[in-house]
Amino acid sequence: MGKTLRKDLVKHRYLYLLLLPTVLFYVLFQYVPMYGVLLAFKEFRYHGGILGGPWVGLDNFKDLVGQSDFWRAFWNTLYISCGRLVFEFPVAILLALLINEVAREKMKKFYQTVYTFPHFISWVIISGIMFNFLGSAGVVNQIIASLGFHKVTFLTDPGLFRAIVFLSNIWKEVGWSAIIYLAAIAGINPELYEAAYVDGAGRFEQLKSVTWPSIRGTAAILLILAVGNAMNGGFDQIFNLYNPGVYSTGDIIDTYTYRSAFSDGLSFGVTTAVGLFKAVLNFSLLYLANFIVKRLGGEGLV
Amino acid sequence: MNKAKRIGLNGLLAAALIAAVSGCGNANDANGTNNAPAASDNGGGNAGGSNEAANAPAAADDNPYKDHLDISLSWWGIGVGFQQHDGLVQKIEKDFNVTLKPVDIGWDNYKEKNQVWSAAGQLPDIITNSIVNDNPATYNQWVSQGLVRALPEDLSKYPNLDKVAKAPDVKGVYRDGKLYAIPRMTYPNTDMWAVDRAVFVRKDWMDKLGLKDPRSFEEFDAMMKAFAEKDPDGNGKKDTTGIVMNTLGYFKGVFMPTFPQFDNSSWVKEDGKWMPFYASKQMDQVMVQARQLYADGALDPDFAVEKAGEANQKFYQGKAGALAFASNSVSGSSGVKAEWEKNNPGKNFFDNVKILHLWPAADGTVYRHTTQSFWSETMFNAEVDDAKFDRILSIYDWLLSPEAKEMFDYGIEGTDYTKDASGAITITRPKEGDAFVDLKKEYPSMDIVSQLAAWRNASSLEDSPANRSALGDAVVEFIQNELKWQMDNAKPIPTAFDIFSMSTPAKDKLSTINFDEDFTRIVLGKDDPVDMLHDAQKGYDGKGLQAAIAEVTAEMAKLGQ
Repeated sequence: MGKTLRKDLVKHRYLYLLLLPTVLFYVLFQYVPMYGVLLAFKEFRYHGGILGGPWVGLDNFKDLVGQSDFWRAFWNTLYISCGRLVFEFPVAILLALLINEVAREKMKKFYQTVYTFPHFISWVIISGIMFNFLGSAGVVNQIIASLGFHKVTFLTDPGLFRAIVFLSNIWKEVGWSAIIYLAAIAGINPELYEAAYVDGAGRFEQLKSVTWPSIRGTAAILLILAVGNAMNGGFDQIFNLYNPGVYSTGDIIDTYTYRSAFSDGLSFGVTTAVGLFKAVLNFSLLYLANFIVKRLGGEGLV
Repeated sequence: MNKAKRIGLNGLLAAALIAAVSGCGNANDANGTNNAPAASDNGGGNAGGSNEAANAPAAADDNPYKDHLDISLSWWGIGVGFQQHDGLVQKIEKDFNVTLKPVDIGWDNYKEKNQVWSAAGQLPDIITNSIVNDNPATYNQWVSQGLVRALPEDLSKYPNLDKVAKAPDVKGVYRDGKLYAIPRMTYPNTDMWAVDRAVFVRKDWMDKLGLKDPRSFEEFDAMMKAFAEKDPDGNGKKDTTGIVMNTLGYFKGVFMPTFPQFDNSSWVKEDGKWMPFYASKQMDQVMVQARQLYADGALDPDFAVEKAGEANQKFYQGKAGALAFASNSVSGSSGVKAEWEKNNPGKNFFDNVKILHLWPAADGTVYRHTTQSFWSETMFNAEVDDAKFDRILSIYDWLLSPEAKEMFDYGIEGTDYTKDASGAITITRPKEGDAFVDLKKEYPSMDIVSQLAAWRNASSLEDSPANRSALGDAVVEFIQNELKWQMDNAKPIPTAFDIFSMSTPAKDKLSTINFDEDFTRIVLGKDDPVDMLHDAQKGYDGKGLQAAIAEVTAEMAKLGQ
């Protein structure tokens, strides 16, 4: 084994050299920092750094489960993530299919650019724009008021917050998420369409029988990844959009951790425990989704 | 894999940092200031300092400042303020033979930044923070884990600092007999705080709608509601609101007649027990009234989403009838008067706006705002060596001296003013219209340097020639009249000052309770406000509220209260 490996390494040395920076990147920035997780079982000491504090066993976790705000954040994270899977995930596929149906190449490019562009605007900016649109003196409320209805408090109503989170994220990310599907569609052999056409399939039939089966695998993989990400509710977005009025439906684990660690002065040990708890859950969810997809006959990730 | 990074604290910190910089910090970072703390030469105790400055004064022997030192200091917006390296900064750097390295913090993220830097071992030499009262648990940790340096017990070398260290309400800042922070004194006494709360109101709108000064909360609510509904600006559109706030803290002033201690977030004695204001029965009525204001449209519907100061614009632009802020905020080039007049060309602020004095409380007393005599504090990195510490303390001692006050009032002698043998001052700096050019315009660092060691609130309130020339007679008189009215007619909120800085194990943990957030949530909520409040209060018990009440009550008993 060792001998063949060495031979292999020597033989493909340039390929391995090309690979090296990526491997180094992962080791340095993803694996080395992992030791920080030990802090979840320690009391943080400023001078000792991550390893210097005394061990406290599971005290940090006990502290954590006693916090009612934590459980609120936990359930909110689950609800918002599920909502993202149900409402946001399919939209990108739909958009890719729709753009693909546009006949003129130029229009295709135009639509794709228009939908992709918002991805590059940061949430800070978008939250400002949304405030201008949805605030009490914003355009939307002015229209509502001029039609004689009562103004709606879009941004502080806990009942509307999740819908706003989903809609704004769809607006911002749908074009970007569609790129990968468009790439998969572009890779479909045109002969398949020609054959279907000869067989008398219309546009919709072609979509159903050629395009969709060809990108189903991609969708499955992306779904697994999305499920594995479920415990991250989207810190950037929520942090910029939420306010105390919508904590009941909008505070997620990440925002809760952030506030606890830096504003309210909960110890770093406890907040690391939150991070670990979340990561373990994410990991299990990833495996679960992978298992289900494989069971359903799809191609899994691992 | 990718998930792995979520595990590490580093990942968490990095994400938080990015969010802090891109999220909260954006308002302050527009000028591209360097956010990274400049870890200046704290190098392992080389008391002499290794880098001999080329421009050190020639007569070196008796000069206590002969070695050049680099000192890093944090302050809100210091990146912008120090960018020009103006004459004021130059003077201090020259006089004390130091280079000041600015480390930027923002108003909405300074605590976060200090936390991150403390964990990363990157605190600047001079730390600006507000944790002694706000997060005593963190302060105690910083002290017990040796993050900050204690002031020398003998401060006779620094007489002005010594006075601060011996002030009565600084007692609570000491830990084991040592002082680990210089409190930033606001006023020489707790009376002058009266000008830190005010409800500005549109006089012209009141006249137009035939409204009189409210004598009860109901009348106040009706007045604000009228501002929102009766088209006070006469443009035919329903585009105005009642009261807006600079920040929530100022809005709390409105409830002074209902529950005085809610305004200054202090502790009250109820049924023989000392408890924080949010645990008091009196909060019930505050919650009911706040909700009523919101439901009536009398309170700015966007208050929960607006950032600090953002809503002031609504008042300036004639979209709100009242603004909860401070009466001393009228002055200055970005003060309420200047901003209002900018948005209402041709109109005089004092003709159209006045301060609305609140009605008496149930006991017949009109209350005025008061709190302890300092807010926020300066701390020193424990890694600062003796020589540098001495230099820093000398600078702070000077900042508190009468000579420094003269500089903050009049600028630099010879350039901005002259003084004759009798001490009479002649201002020589150029004029802009009637008034002399604002010193803050001339020296962008003025606001920072002048407030490093102590807030300048008291100075800016004085009826002095310096203020009259800088702010104009009308502003000085307006503030003086308001202060006088408050002294003559109102009584300070009965406040348990001893409890602010008191440290007990359970009380220290109460900093994880963020009542402002719950207050906002309840005001916006749809369920019964009192039920929601009681629910929140039950949640506080889980955070050690009852234990804190017991501990503080016991401590206060020892003090005979």
